[in-house]
Order: sequence, then structure tokens, then C-alpha cells
Amino acid sequence: MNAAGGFWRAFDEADPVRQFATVIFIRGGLIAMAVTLLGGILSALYSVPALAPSFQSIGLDLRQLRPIHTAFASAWIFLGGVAVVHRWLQDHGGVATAGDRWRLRIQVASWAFAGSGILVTLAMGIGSGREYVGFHPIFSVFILLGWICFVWNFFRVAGPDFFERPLYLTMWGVGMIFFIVTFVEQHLYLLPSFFGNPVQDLQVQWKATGTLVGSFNLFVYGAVIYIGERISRDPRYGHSRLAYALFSVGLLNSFTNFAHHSYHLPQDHIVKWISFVVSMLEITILCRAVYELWRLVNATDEQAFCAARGSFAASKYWTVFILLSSVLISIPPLNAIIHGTYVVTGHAMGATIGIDTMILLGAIIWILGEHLQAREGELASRVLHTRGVKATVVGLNLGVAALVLWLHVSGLITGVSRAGFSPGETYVPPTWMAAWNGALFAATGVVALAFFVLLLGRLIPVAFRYWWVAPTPPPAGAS
Amino acid sequence: MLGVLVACFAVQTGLVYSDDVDLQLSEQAIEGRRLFHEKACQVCHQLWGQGGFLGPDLTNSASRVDETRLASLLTVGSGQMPALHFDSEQIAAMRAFLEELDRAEIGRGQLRLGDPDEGTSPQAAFERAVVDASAPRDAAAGFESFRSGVCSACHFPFQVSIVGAPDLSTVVERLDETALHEVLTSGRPEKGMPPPVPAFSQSQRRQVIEYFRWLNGQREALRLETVRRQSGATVDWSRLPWWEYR
Repeated sequence: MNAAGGFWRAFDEADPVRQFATVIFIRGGLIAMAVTLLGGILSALYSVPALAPSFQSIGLDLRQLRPIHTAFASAWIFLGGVAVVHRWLQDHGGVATAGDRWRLRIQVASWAFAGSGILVTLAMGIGSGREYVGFHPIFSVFILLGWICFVWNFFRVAGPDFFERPLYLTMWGVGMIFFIVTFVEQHLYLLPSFFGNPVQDLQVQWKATGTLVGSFNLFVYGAVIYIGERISRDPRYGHSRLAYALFSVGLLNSFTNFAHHSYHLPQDHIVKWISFVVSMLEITILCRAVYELWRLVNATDEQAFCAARGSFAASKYWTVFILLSSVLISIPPLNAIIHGTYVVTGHAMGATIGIDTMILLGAIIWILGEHLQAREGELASRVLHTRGVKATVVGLNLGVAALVLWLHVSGLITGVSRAGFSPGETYVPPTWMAAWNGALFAATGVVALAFFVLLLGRLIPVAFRYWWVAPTPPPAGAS
Repeated sequence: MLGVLVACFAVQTGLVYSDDVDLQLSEQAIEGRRLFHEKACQVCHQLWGQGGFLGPDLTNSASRVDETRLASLLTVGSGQMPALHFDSEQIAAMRAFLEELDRAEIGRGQLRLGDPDEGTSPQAAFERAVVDASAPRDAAAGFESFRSGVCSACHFPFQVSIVGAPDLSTVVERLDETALHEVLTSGRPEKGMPPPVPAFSQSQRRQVIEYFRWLNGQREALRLETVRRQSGATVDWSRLPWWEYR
């Protein structure tokens, strides 16, 4: 326990097995992000009509590329979150037991097998043809197996006095259980009764996918509170009543707001009303949440640029934008106009890149800085906080903001012009927009990709510099 | 507190699972749905708005895509849609699946507020303008072949379509008759255009070329008429729904 009331351990003071676990999941996350970017840019190029025949001639089309992009984007966010949880286990887990080590081995092996298997099979055109879980269901078994090992290792340490611990542990714990429930739900299509009823299948799919997103949000927001606590050295926020209130509303929202994707399905209206009312309640919390996030970020040292802080700071602007967009698209008549347009893509992309990725990048930069400091001395981590990195973080955010903004504008124009068509007609977008869409998506996408590649170019060499973590013995008295 | 939240989750979950809409697919339609997922159609197409945005929403496609066009799309593809090489049984299964989804009582996949009796799209306005312009017999027959075949799925009037298919009102200025016969027979695979399925007969090809010539001569008049008809179309925003689209 330190003077401020927190219990923090420097990176290299922890059990080497736990150090290894943190770094291996950061590596996995960064690889997943690289695959996501590759799948994303190839998908974007395939969308250019003149280029599609060239892709087809080498046996590639969107059926391989898009599932790779979406599956690995989810993997990046989960692995980033898992890495942060393992960093917490470094603080509190003490020396890993033989059981911990076995479960960690199973977790790493099963996820490595699932990840590489998913990549190979999707590239071969073998998958489930579903949204988000587009890979063959056999890999789901390995994902779930690794997840159960992870949950076991976490609760073995965090389980005692779980409800007395900081909020971020509740968030992670709930997110872990929530993931299992929703991941299983996403596979109900394997039951003939669900598969034979597409409307019910779709209802369940939206529910499961919406709440799965809720589960990784719990990881990400837990990560920002934990790393924010570490950076600011102020553990009070994680125990405040307000933090718990925000968590409750956020979780309630995760449980219910998926229904704004299924307003138009023939479904019990009470499901939709619950979703609508909860979504509208969220706006009152929005302002307070943003204020709190702002306060946490600003509590850190502003003297010198810190890339982790810079990434967190970017996420607060994204949080405002995305929550506002979420509230607006939850209003049924507006939802009717924009549903099934690029507004939905822009919203999802803004949330996954602007909020989740920015927070996780901030957390990972901070952890890698610690890792580097432990191996090469105090000044080594400066390589992650240079002006170049600052320019990259700013450029990345501006590139993604331009892309997300255009997706919203394009989707809104599509929604309004499409509404003017008659039932039974195939929608054709206005000529000027079809032309602008391609050019703007390509330009903003390439800019965002370039900054992502620059950032990965900084992080990957650091994450992979030391293949194995130094076997530093844990300090005496570690529990 | 966590208990209350878990209870909320249970209630919402219960409501979703107990809401069993009566849409049990037939055996043939289930086979169509299996193919839909096996071929990952959802990557580009949507059902009730869920899926990719490269291709059109297929929820209500059965009523607007005839059997000939569906067969062509599912065998040789079109533009960015790859060739799937479906056989006749697979086409029939997909047809059954799409037909069983396209039912008024389970709602539409997309919001449409245009006049339900008279089409409001540029395509519909153009087609009405062509019909009213009373083209010569061969050109009119060529237009029918063009419209009922798969051509009009990609080629839109007076614009390069979203899949990059060019405006055909000027095609006779770019290609000579031999080249046009060749394209109407074999397509242009290098540019993503498949051969027409079913294939055009010699006389159909001649009539379609005759239609292109007539269209080129009437281009400006037809363009203005299309714009006039389309600008007169009304959108009834008062029908904006709260929940389902009907």
C-alpha cells in the first residue's frame, strides 16, 4: 500500500510470469490491429468498382476481407483490455501458482491457435457468414476455452472481497461474465429452431452483438480508470459513488440499447420502449461522465507531452461525439432514416477507434513505457513520448475524425434520399454522392491508415524488442 | 445494485426470447438461408439493415428481382459481386428464402416514403419516359430485353452507376457494332461485366443495339423528361414511422 492509498508495483517488481502475460497480450493486440488495418484497407480498395475485378482475378473478394477486418478489430480491443487486466494482476497477483501458469499457457495457446486458424480459414473463404463472428464456429470453442482460463486466473486474485475493490475490477469482472453469456448467445444460430426463424435469429443476434460491445466497453472504461489512477496517483475515483452510478447507467444501457438496431423488426414494443427510454436517460449522464473523464485526464502532469495522456485526452472528445450520436440514433423516426446506412458504420468506427482504440493505445503506451524503463533505464521510455508520436496521435485522430464525419454525412444523405424512393425500387444514390463517396473514403481512410502504421511502427519494435521478460525475482513479502 | 442490473438484463432477455415471430422457414428456404451464410452474402448485402453496404438490402428483393436476373446474379455475378456458380437447385433454394422474407406483415427492410403506386427513382422516371416516347419497334423490343435482363441492375440512365457501370446512352459513340455484339455476347470480364445470362439471341442483340442508337439520338430529350418526372415525385414525410416500416 502506498501513501496515496493505492497498491501499485513497478513493472519489473512483479512476477516474471505476470510480466510475460502482460507483454504477450500487448503483442497479440498489436498483431491483431495490424491484421485489422490490412483487412480494412484491402476491403476499402475492393469497394472501388474499377479495382474489384483485379481482386477477383486473384481469388480475393469482400467475403474474405471484411470478416478478417471485423474479427481482428474485436480481437484487438479484447486483447488490449486483457493486457491491461494482466498489468493489474502484476500489481496484486503475487507469484503465479502452478495452476495460474497452466491456465495462462492454455489461454495463450488456444487464442494463438484460434487467431491464426481464423486468419487462414477466412482467407480461404471458410467462415460462418455471420456478422462479427464471421469465423468458423470451431474456433469459438478455443476462444471460449482461453477466456474461461483468463476469467479463472482473474477471479482467483480479484475474487476475495470483490465488491470492496475499486470500480474498475467490478467493470472487468462483469465484462468477463457478460462476454461468456453474449458469446454463447451469438452461436444460438447453430440450433435449427433459431436458424429456421430469421426474425427471431436477427433479434437475438442484435441483442447478443449489442451486449458483446457492452462487454468490451466495460474492459475499456475499466482500463481508463485503472491507468488514469496509476498516472494521476489518485485512487479515490475508483471508489466514488458517482463512478458507481455512471457504471450502473452504462451497464443498463449495454443491456438494453441494442434494440435501437431492431426498432424496425416485428418485435414486442416493450423491448423497444425500454431501449428508447434508457437511451434518453443516458444524456443526463453523458455530461457528467465527460466531466469526470476530463477531470481524471487533467489531474495528470501537463508539463511534458505524454502519449498515453494524449490518447486518453483524444478519447474524451470522441466520447462526447459518439454518445451524442448514440442518443440521436435512438430516436425512432431518426433511426428509421439512418438505419442500414453508413451512419451506423461511422458510429461503430468512431466508438471502436475514437474511444476504445484511443484509450487502449494510451494504456499500452504507458505499459510499454514502464516495460522499457525497467529494461533500459529511466529515460528509455521517452522514445514513446516524442513530438513525432504526438504528431502521429493528433494526425490519427484528425484522419479518423474526417472519415467518421464523412460516413455520418454520407449515411444521412443516403437515408434521406432513400426514403424518397417507392417500395420495391432499388435505391440508387445521387450521382455526385456516389463519386464523392469513393474519393472521400479513400482519402480519409488512407490518411488514417498512414498514421496507424506510423504508430504501430513505434509500438511494435518496443513490444517485440525483448522476446522474453527478464526473470527478475519478485520482492520479498509479495503475496 | 448489481443484482438489480442483472434482473434488468434477465427481463430484457426474457422479452426478446419470448417474442417468437411466426416466420418459420420451409425446408427449401432453410437451404437457401444456409447458402446465404455459406457464401457470406451478408458481407455485402443486408437483411433488415444488418450486413454490409456494398450491395442492396435483400429483405424485399424477391418482389423486385425476377427469376432471370436472380439466376444471372447467382451464377456469373455482376461487377463487384463475384461469380457464385449456383446450380438450378441452389437458385431455387435462394429464391424460396428471399420470397419467404419478403412479406408485408413482417415489415420492410428499408424506409420508403415515395409514392407506392408510381415509382419515384431515376430509373422508374427514365423507364416511363422511354415508354411514353414511343420508340420504333426494334428499339422498343431492345429496351424490353435490356430492362428485363440483368443489364439495368448495373447500368443507370445518364450516369456512371455506383458499381462503375457506364452510361449506355453514349455507348454507340464509343463502340462500333462488332464490339457491341461482342460485349452483349461475352461481357467484359476484365472490367467486371459478366456475360448476359440467359444469353441474348442474335436478334435480341441487334434490337438492343438498335435501342442504344435510338437512346443516343433522344438523349437530351429523355434526360430532361426524366428530370422533370423525378422532380415531380413527392415524399410523404408524414408517414415517417415510429417503429416498424410497413
